[in-house]
Amino acid sequence: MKKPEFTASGDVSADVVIVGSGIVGGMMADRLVAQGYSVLVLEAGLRITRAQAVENWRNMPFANRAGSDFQGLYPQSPLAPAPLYFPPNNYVNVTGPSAGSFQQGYLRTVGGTTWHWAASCWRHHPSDFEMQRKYQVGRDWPISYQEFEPWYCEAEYEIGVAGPNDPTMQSPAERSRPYPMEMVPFGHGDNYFASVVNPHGYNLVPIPQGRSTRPWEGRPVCCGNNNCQPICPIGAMYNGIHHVERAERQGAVVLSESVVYKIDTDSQNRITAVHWLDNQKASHKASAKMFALACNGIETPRLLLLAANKDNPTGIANSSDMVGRNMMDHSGFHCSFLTEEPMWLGRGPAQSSCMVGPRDGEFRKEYSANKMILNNISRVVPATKQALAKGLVGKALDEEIRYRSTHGVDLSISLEPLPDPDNRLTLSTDRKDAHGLACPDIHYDVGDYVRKGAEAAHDQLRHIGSLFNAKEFNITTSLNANNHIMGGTIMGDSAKNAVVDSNCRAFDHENLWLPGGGAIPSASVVNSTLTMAALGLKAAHDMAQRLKGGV
Amino acid sequence: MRLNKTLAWVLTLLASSPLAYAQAESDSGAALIAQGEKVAIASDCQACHTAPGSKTAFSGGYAIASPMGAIYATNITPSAQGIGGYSEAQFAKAIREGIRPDGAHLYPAMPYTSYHLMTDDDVHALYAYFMHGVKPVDQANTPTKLPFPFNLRFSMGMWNAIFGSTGSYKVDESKSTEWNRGNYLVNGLAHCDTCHTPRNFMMAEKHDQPLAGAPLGSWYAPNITSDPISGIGGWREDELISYLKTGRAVGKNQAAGGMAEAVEHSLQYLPDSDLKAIAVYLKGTAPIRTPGETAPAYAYGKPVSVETAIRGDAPNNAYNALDNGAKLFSGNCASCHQPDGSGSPNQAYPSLFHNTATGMIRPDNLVSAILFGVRRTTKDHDVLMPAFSSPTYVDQLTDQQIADISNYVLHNYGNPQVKVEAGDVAWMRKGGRLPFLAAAQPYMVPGIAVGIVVVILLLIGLRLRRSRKKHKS
Amino acid sequence: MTPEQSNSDYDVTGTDTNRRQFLKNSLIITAGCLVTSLPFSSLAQNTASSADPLRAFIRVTQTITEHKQVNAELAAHFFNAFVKKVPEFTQQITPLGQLIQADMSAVTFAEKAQAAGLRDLLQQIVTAWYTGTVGNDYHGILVSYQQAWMYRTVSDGLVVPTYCGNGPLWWTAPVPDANSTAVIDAL
Repeated sequence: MKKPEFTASGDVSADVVIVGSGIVGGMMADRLVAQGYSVLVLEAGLRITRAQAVENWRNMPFANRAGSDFQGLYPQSPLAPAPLYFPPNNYVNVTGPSAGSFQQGYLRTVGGTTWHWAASCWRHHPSDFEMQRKYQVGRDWPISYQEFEPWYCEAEYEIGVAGPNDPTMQSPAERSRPYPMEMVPFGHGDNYFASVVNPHGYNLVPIPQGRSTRPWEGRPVCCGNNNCQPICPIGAMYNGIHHVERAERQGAVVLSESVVYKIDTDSQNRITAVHWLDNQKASHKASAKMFALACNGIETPRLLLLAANKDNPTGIANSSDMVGRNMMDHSGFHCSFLTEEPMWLGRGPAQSSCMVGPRDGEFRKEYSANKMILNNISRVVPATKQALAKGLVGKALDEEIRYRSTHGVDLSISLEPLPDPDNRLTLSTDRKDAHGLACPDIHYDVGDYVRKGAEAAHDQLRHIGSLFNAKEFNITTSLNANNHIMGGTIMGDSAKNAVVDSNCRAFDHENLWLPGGGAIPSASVVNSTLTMAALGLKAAHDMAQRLKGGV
Repeated sequence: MRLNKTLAWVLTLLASSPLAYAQAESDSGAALIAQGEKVAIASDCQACHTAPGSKTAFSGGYAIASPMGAIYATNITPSAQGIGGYSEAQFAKAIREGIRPDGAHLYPAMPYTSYHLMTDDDVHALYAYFMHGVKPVDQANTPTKLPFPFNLRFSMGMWNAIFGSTGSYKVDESKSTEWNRGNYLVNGLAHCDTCHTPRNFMMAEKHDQPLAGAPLGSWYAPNITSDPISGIGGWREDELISYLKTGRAVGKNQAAGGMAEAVEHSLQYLPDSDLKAIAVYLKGTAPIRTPGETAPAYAYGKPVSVETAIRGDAPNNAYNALDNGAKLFSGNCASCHQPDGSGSPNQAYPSLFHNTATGMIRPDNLVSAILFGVRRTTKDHDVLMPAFSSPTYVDQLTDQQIADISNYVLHNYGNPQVKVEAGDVAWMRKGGRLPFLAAAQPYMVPGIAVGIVVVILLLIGLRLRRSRKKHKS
Repeated sequence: MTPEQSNSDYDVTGTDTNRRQFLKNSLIITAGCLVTSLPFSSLAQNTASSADPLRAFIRVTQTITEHKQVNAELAAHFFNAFVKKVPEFTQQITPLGQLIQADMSAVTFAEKAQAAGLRDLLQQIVTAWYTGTVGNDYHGILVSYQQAWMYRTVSDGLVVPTYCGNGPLWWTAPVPDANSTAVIDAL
């Protein structure tokens, strides 16, 4: 068990330093420490416990839960803020025509944002890898789906994904290994919804999910407490903390409350060390052979810009001027209605099935694809708000809540933005955090591709509503964020227009990797986490090859 | 002919004996091997002789964590490195007397102290099974090296002479066939006594307290005598059978630790008639009261909601603020066991009240379940309660936190007179308090050395006195 | 779905809940012992019969929701939160309670409250019991979560989030009849 070496003053040296302890950092640490390298992970935020998060959520006022305040229950280090919205803390200042649709939620905590994800583990579609070639929009990946596919398999086994092994229910169906576990079974609502929409080509399929449908390597089976977001009380859902703790058991050292702010480079522009501030604001230095920044789609570009030095005046890894640009998220919206027949949504995990019919096609030359999640979060909270707003009392109130809870549907629609260099993260000139480091500013415009895609989706939704004889049919008018932050350290085939190569290795620095959402060059319409994990595993492989001297 | 008549008489006897399996007639071949396999399952040979996760059955290598140190179970497949060279007599001697073909003694981790009851027929069938029904595996044995003086295997000979019994099972004609079958299974093949009978300071079973309950590492094998307060006297026969077959009896208990393994590997495969026989026998044992118990362990507790006490009591972004048993219970346990401890309606997650794990006077099983979780796979159920110690997918709780949760559970859902301290949890986390003999071991060599020095000094002293006396006179 | 946990909530004195008879249209609180065991008893020191506002609060709750069962301990928690959070509560709760007549329906009570200018407080009280929170904003006081009444309406088919249902993968079981009023009738 090789461990990082600490000096008396608190400086460290290790084979590998990873900044960020989310799913990507955790998986990379686990892979590298298992191969015998000493690994140090630096995490800006706190180390929390699951039970505390559970109790905090139960102690949330109703308004916060009704507003889906998935950030507010997670205690933050005052020295490592993350966005809060109840009320807003304006840590990330978003401007531009679509500012409202890029209000991101992410955690700076040991284990990262997968503490409060829904564990949807989609793969990008093969077409997503060649948007430019096929549809003359966006960017191509420098590798094909086929080349990347084995890494998807690896990531699915690392997470422990439960997915359908019937190819007619898979999206995409091109895969070389079966899912580790059988799919999460449909509940009544999924089955009923499928029976209505699938004859019309909407293709409601099971969402491949990172949770157990059988005891999985000691992980309990999902018990349907419907609370995936913001915290799985029983550990049946995958969280990044699982890999972090596994890496620690093998000798990796994870330091919490360690905010990296400075990156040293040498005459060949290799990274020699990073510097971090601890919770007493004292500075320490971590030296290593190889470095990875896996801080999240906002924090990684922020750090690269903050760490600009003499030899890299526009930011580390930024000779292309692409760091912080091409910011993307699955900006989306919601559609809600009441059905004639009971749906009983809220039985099982928070998301179980999704319409992927409009996920690919020639139309993508003109406008964005979409996917429509049949949201399985219990409808009791919105039902109660609506029933109370009607001024009902007595048994009539109970009956109204019951009616709306059992007949209410919410669809969450995701659209695909194209990478636009003007959708850009920069460092604020006036807002600084408690360490005096500049906070992020983001300018965002979803673009016409998305706006046209939204209109197409509206048509589809109205049709779907009619299939259910929907009552109180409503489509939200503004777009919301989906926390799938991509593009800020974009992948490409050349340093001229990209930050990293297909191994997420920085073009500018031969021993720096930037795996994660930031590297993803095409957003697709599906959740990005599985792709991020696959990128992390591929990057760790590249790192290990180079550590061995094999490249 | 006389031979035929004798044979017929013997066969009739065998067929009507409570100890015979139905197909015991043929001398070799598939039926005998099948019978031997049943004996092997009832005796749970693979619990020790198949290493967990091993793809080769009975090939040994499993380190049994005995209080004296690791005892490695051997390869009992019919290969050269296994028991391929054993004659049936040698096989029988190992099983019944704990003596290897080379004359060395086996440690009673191999429960020859129970298997001595095995009938000739069962030994014969077992031999046939291991020789012809088990795949030979070339796997060398890991030698067992216990610390001095336990490495002196010959000392087992003395131990056996003092504490052991020999002789195969003797049918008690005054009792039913079923009772005898149960007795044979409980004290012989299934060797329940090796866990459930308390042991003396030399680690031999206390024959005056059969099945009265005993610690087992971090866990506690409960009193299973017929006592209505301390044992299974208040259990219905069908509850006992359900427990043995599935590991669970609603309103009574659920098997964890070593008992879960016994159910999973052995008891769930016994025919219902055998399970009934075990139940009949247990219900007929002499009742033994555990001191201090006044009510049956399954009679304690009722639903009590933790919510009113703690809800809204802390900010909604609190950090390290689960500072009492109630809050820890709510955050770690209430999801599955419900805020009032009643578990799921179908009891897939059991109720914490009316549960012997929380009602017993020993909290070992409650604490161990929290520390190590529960894992039990039977035909119809795959049960997993997570562990709250590393490695785990949920929180790693400290000794104090587990003590706090245990006390909350005991007070509200279990026996409120039982209290757990952090130190108790620490012991269980380590594998349980050591029995005297094991605890004394580190002192034995220095103790003997000191003893020798003392003897030498005494001798020198005596000599000096004698020579002084001589000179005086 | 949820086991008979509704019984356990009312077991403040430790009697056998299975044989408990739920009282219709009358207080569950008996004078004396339960009242003095409540956490708010320190409030009682100031006024001559300060148990009255709490009683009024409970009567108001029962009448406006038509729920027979009210957890005394929980009611005290809500009461304290209202005193803290809603300035007009202390003055208005007793007059609100005095509007109640025997066998009055919730709708009638609401109309009477409207006429007396007390409808607002009444709405806040209903909202609090159903959402578990006193106060509508992000600084609301969370009083009950799992015991919030909104979840009771569907307890035959839906969990209170964070609490497991009927064991692993339970949701493939058939759904209850959404039109059934059994659950609501028992409230």
